Amino acid sequence: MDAIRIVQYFKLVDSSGTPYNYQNYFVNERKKLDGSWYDFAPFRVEGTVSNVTGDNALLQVLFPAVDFSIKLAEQADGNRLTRLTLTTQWLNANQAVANSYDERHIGIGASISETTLELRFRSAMDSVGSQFPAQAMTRRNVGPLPTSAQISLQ
Amino acid sequence: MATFPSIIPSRRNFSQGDYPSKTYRSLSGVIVKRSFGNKATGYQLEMEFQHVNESTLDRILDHYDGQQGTLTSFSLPSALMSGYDSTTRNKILAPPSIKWFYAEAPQVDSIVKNISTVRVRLVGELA
Repeated sequence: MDAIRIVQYFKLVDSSGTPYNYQNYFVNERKKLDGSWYDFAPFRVEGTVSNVTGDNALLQVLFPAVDFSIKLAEQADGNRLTRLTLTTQWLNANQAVANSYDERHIGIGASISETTLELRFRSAMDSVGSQFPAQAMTRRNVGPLPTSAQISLQ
Repeated sequence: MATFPSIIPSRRNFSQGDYPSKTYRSLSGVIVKRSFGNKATGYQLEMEFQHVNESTLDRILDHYDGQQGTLTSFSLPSALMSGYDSTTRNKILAPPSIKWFYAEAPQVDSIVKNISTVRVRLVGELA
């Protein structure tokens, strides 16, 4: 593969259930995904997709600070408790979808600078607690127990 | 959006835009390109208007002021690509979704009284 073409579909639903749909690849075009229309918006997505501990990951979506994005943040109550479904699609050279997956996040706030609006999210699933899974370490789940406190899980 | 003054340039230079992408180059030399959009951007058009009188010079300077310098976009008249057929002219003057901006303020050389040479540099961006 010598070229990667990725389009991201941003579907934000605020606490009142109002959806805001945007895609970031097809410039000035409307695209349909799962029965909904997505307008073009020049946003970018940054952040952790997943980590080894299963803790909720921080995701940032950056929009230019223009009328529609500020309106989006204001109407979504500063991006608090919004629900984001981010669909990432890989396109082939003919711009047909080769692969696709969805991620779901919860809005935790927003900030704005003179040029950029930053919407912050965390992944919807969090680990239950720091001791998750809450099990005692036994010979059954880690094998022969060492005589020292140094354990290497591989 | 005021159209650029309809004046035939003495010299013009056009550079076509490119599709937005980034290149990852591995240590082995293999490259992978990541595409970020389906339309080209970054068009450039340089024009020189040689030995124009003050009235023509004022039209260009006034247009630059009217556009608030490099801030707002405008369209280009067909006179700028005089000599090309309409197909080529449209490809240069109105690429898909492209808006033209001043890249910098017009550069003016004073030749003799009432005669100047003006250079204008434009960029075509997705906006």
